[in-house]
Amino acid sequence: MKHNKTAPSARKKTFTWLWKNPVFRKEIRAFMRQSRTRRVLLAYLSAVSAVLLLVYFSIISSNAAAPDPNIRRVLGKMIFLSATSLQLVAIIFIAPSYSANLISAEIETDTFDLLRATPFPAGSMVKGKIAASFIFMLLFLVTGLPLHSVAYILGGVEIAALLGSIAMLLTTAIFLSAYGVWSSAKLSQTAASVGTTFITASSLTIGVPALMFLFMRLSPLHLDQDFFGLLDSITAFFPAAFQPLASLFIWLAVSSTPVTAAYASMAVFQKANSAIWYNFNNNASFQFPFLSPWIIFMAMYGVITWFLYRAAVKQVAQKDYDIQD
Amino acid sequence: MTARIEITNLSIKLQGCTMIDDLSFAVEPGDVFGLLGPSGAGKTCLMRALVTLLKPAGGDILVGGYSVKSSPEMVREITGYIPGKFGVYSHMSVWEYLDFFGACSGIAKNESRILINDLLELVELQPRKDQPAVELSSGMKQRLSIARALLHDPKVLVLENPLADLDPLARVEFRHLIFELGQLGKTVIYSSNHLSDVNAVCSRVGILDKGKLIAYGSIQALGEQIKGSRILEITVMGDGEKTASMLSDNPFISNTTRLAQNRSNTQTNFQIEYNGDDENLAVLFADLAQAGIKVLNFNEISTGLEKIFRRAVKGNLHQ
Repeated sequence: MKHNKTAPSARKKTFTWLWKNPVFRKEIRAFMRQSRTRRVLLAYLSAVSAVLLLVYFSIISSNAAAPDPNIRRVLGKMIFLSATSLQLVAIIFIAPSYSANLISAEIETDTFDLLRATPFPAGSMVKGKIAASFIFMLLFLVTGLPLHSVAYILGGVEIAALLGSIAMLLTTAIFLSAYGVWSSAKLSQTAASVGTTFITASSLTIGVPALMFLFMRLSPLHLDQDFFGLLDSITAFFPAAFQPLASLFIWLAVSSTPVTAAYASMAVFQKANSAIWYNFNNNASFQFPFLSPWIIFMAMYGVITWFLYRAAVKQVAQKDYDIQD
Repeated sequence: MTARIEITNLSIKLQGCTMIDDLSFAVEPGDVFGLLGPSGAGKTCLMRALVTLLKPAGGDILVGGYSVKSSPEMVREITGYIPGKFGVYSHMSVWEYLDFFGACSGIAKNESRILINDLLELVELQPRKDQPAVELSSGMKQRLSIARALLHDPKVLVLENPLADLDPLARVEFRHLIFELGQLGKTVIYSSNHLSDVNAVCSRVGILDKGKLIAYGSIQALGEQIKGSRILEITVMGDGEKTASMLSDNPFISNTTRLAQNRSNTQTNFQIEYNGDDENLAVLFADLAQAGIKVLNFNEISTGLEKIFRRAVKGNLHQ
């Protein structure tokens, strides 16, 4: 019998590489052995279930008063939006508490020097820590999927919206993992690092969108328009020659946070029926294609994550602290 | 198998402060070298630089021919380190702890299994291999730390106070172990606050003070250097003040310290640093007797490591 040896797939290779990383194995083992992990997971799933039930029954009860023939689609969409928002909130809270102590805890327990004195490279150490934190957040996202899937049973959610939301959640998770590890390496103290990561995570997901909303509320704009109506109203403030640049700037600003990028991507999908790009056409004065905000968001955060990884490696490799004879 | 350590014009700065200043010395392969110095002398800085945890501001350290500046990875391959503070992961058993550091040192899984068993036997922690490392007593943790440092069979061992927290019996056993490691050709740099440990284990010592090497060599050779000025303890009966004045006026006595006086003020103890020979000493005693002062007791303090250390730090080792 002839055996054909096939090269391991890239996915298998990545997983083998990850599993060979002792720091990754150590962190995953530590996460899974902590009773806190089980408690947090239980609390998260209970909270998501409770909120989704609340959404479900409130829509059903309001529908009883004024029946809507598309009630299943409305239900599906609302449950999808609620579940995705809750997963984002969960990431904001989980990321700081898990990723932001991964280096500082080593310093505080006097194991950092032991690790650095081995031939194990600083880059592999940081990769192992970021990957472990990401896998841990992935665990939360995956365990929430059965609740998420209720939306697909009911309908009203496009596959592109589903894939886009998952991609954005994963990008946010890996960005916050890298940010937490970098902040932990930079600040060397768990409390300061957790605080900084939490402030950054909540500013990006809640603070910046809230500021954008406040700015529009205080401006003479009419907020009862859709995304493109608002975009046109804002660019109208600029001279015609600067309008393309203003549109590009607003497009990038909207793409810079997960909430606004998701909102704008849904608007693009509804208007252009494309999850990838939108052909911008402003009063025929200019016309060019913009990538959908969720793609820009992923590219932007991918680049930032890479820089955070490099900065964390530099911090770990050059860390001098607490010298006493 | 062996590795020489060569420190050349090393300087280390931390937050603008000079911790090590133009330091140069070498440790030969197989030497067990004791590093001594008062607090703040720069011992920890030097040890951290040796294991590539601190980058020198100037000069270099060659460990087994590899520079800590240009080839830190190679230095880490051949160096084992026990820092002053013992670090342990709360969720790991003794076995897992060694397995983790074995993996970080690049030891293959099947090889590491045999190695860990042997090391646990050596440090007598085999019965506790499944116990959480965090629950070990401090002495056991120190033993685990020694096992960890030996995992990748390093040519150089940098040990910061490794016998602290060990009970007296374990202390003796580990002194023997360190001595044997030296016999096996491993170069050991050993810092300790216990001079008796250094005296028992080290073939050569270096004394650091304010970032500079103020004494270096074998304990015997350093002892020879200070033999020129002997430390004597004298108990006299008679006028204490007059004795002190006579001792201070003697051209062969460089330092006189009054140690104690009995209650009736009839006997007084002095410690003197004497640079003369035995004939001059006999003349001194005769002069004292002529002045009505009787020498009741006379004792020469031996030239041990403690004395070398005290003299070196006081700054008069080479006087």
